Amino acid sequence: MLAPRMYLDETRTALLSSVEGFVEREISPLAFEADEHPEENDILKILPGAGESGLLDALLPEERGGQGMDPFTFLLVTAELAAASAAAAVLLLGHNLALLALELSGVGNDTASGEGRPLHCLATGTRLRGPAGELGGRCDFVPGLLQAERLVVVGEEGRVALISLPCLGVRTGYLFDHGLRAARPAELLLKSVSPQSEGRLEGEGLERLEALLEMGAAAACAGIICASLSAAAEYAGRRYQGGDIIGEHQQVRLMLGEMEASREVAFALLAGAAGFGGGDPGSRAARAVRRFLAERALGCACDAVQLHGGYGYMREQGVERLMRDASCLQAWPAPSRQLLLGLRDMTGA
Amino acid sequence: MSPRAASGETARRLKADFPALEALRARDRGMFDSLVGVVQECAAFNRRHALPAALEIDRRVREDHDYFAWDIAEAGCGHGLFSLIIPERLGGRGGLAVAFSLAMEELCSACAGIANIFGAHALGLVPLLTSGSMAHWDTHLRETALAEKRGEPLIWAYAITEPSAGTDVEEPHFLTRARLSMRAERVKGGYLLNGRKCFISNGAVARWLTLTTCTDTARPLETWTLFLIDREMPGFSVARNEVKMGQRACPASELLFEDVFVPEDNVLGREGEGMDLGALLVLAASRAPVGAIATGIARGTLERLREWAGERRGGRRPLDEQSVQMALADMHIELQKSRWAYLNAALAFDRSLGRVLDSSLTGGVLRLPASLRAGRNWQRLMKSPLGRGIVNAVMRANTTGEEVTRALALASLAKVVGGDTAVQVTARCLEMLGTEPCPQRPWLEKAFRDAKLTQIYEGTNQLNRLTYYLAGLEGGLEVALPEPLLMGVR
Repeated sequence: MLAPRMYLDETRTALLSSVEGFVEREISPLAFEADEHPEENDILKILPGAGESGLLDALLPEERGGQGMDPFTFLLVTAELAAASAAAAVLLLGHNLALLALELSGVGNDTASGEGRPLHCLATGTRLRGPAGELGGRCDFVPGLLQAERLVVVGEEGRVALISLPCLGVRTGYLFDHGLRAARPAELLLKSVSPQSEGRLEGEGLERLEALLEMGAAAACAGIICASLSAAAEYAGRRYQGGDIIGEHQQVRLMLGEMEASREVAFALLAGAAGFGGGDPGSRAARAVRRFLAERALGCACDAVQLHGGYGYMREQGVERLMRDASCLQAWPAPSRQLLLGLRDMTGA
Repeated sequence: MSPRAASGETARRLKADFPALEALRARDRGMFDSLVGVVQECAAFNRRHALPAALEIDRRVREDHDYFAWDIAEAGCGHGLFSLIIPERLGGRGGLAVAFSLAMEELCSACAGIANIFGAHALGLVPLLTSGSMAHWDTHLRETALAEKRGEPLIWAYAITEPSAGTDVEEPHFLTRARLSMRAERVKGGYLLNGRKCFISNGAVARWLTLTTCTDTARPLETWTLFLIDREMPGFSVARNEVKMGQRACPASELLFEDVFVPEDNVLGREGEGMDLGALLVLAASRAPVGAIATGIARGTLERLREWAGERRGGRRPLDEQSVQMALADMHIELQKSRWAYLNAALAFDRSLGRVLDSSLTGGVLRLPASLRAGRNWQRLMKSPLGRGIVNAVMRANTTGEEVTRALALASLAKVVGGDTAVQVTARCLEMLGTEPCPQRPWLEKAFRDAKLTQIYEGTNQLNRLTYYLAGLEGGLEVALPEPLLMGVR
């Protein structure tokens, strides 16, 4: 389990231990191939197991057939998944937030519950145009767009549309091929689309969704930090240089120390922003945390590759993937520059 | 653009980016013009060949790890990219570290993977030059230049890294305790090589390789030796091509040596001189160009980001925003630092070991009729201890160990500054682009992947910091030039 003990009570420990088992059994073995050959959609093989572990309806209230997971626990789960595959974590993050958006906006969703639930993907940050039946708009980067059966679009102004895929008028544009590859992120283009149903998220609901999206991305960054540390420490414990294990070299210990510090800070920030004792994260804190952790995730992943030397640069080692994934999480859900300028606006001049 | 206009543009850019070169121009106009010519040639190669093919080659190698773009290599022949550092009298362009570094920056602004085909090739040639193995110059360097003129790339590689020893084989203190898996065993008339070398750029496509290994694993530093290898030698094979994160156009391969017999004549320098001749002198020459590779990657990325920022979206250009302007300024400042660092290091090399290659005696030898130099007596003399001693004496007459050590320290500094800059700039540019789909995106993503290698190859940046400390600050590492005439005779 990645999270420090101080954040774990009995319920969280039991849940995370079951998620850890799911990750070891079903995600880790296919993470490399799913990144190498995303077009084969191997990542979808994790869905039945995810359903069994309650990860396909994690945020839905129990009375609606969901797990009713609190935000912080959900973030810990996301970090656990991301340590094995950030793409898998982002895919399930999008799915769960899509369901939450439908729930909060009152849009009917007639899908089965639990394990039989089809994969949803979430598109945000778009300005939806046109009356119902003639929906238009575009969204740059939608993880899972090529894999999901249902698309949930949340417009900047809170308009929510549920679309069954494939659907007339829904097209994919640019296919992203850099990081989070297993989730096959793609550009979404909507023209004269008739959604299955529509609704609206009011101010607080929209803010909650946006904050959870940012925090989910931040949790994925925390997972990358943990994975970087774990890979680097493992290698440093078996590679020799100048006759010594490199883990004994001070400069290597410093690098590992930085990663360890980042890991501690990551969970402290997630806990703080998510309201460790309960409650929802606020948008402002969520954005700040994501910005900070995205930077640290890239730094740690970069150091993990560096510490592996030439081996780190080779794909089969699996650490270069952490770098590519971290670089995507610097820009998604919003680029850091935009995010920082936005933060200033939220704070006031 | 007409060639004349292109030349004027290149000269203007070089003068603006390199004030130090502008100062040198006042003293040596010919040198400056020749540098302009080299950069211009590289720019033409980029326009005609590298830019149209770079993304496709990157994609293709990802699908087929054994693919090598021979057509791009052949196109490089037409621009003299395989003979940049071969002396003019042997048919090359006679460039030293400054010329080669400028060429690498230019080439890498388009594609570092393609550029590294020529970079790793030159790296393979460097030990032949810096060891002063003149007996092989006429046979191997001339043949390389001639093959280029025929449009048939004759590629070189430099092989030092072993599966369990990367950093260790580039630093004398570490080599003494390295876990080596390869060795050369002395046999009648030569050596038998057994073991593996890994991550060898161009390894799969090179005809000739320069390689270091020890003849006694119990005394690796004392017996570290530089060899010239022909891929046709029985027992040599390519075990596999690595699947790299970036710089994919240039293959990195694991090479297998099974009882490869290498004749005594193919020892460059003398047995036991491998750390200085085969590693430290080579790294003093090659790390500044790696700084230039990194600088080129950062420059290409910034050029593309600026292009993106200059395009209007919804009536506004990102370039009009102050936050973008400041970010561009910050990144250009880092770019200039790494540019000046590599130029400084390259100048230090050219003013030390480079002087040996440019010396009147070396020039005088190369002015002798080729038929004479190809003759048996000349070859015998050059391969004899006496000939070796003469070469060493020429080296010592033109430079000192202290000068070369200084060049090594500056080269290590340039490599660190460049590599770190490339990684930071490419990551930041990609972040600024956000998730916007645009034509610049695949280039920036590729540059991000390409950049990371510049912090790793030619010694990790951690090792380079250590080298800078030892050679530049503490005096704990000094390059020893080989023994002069009389001491050389055994």
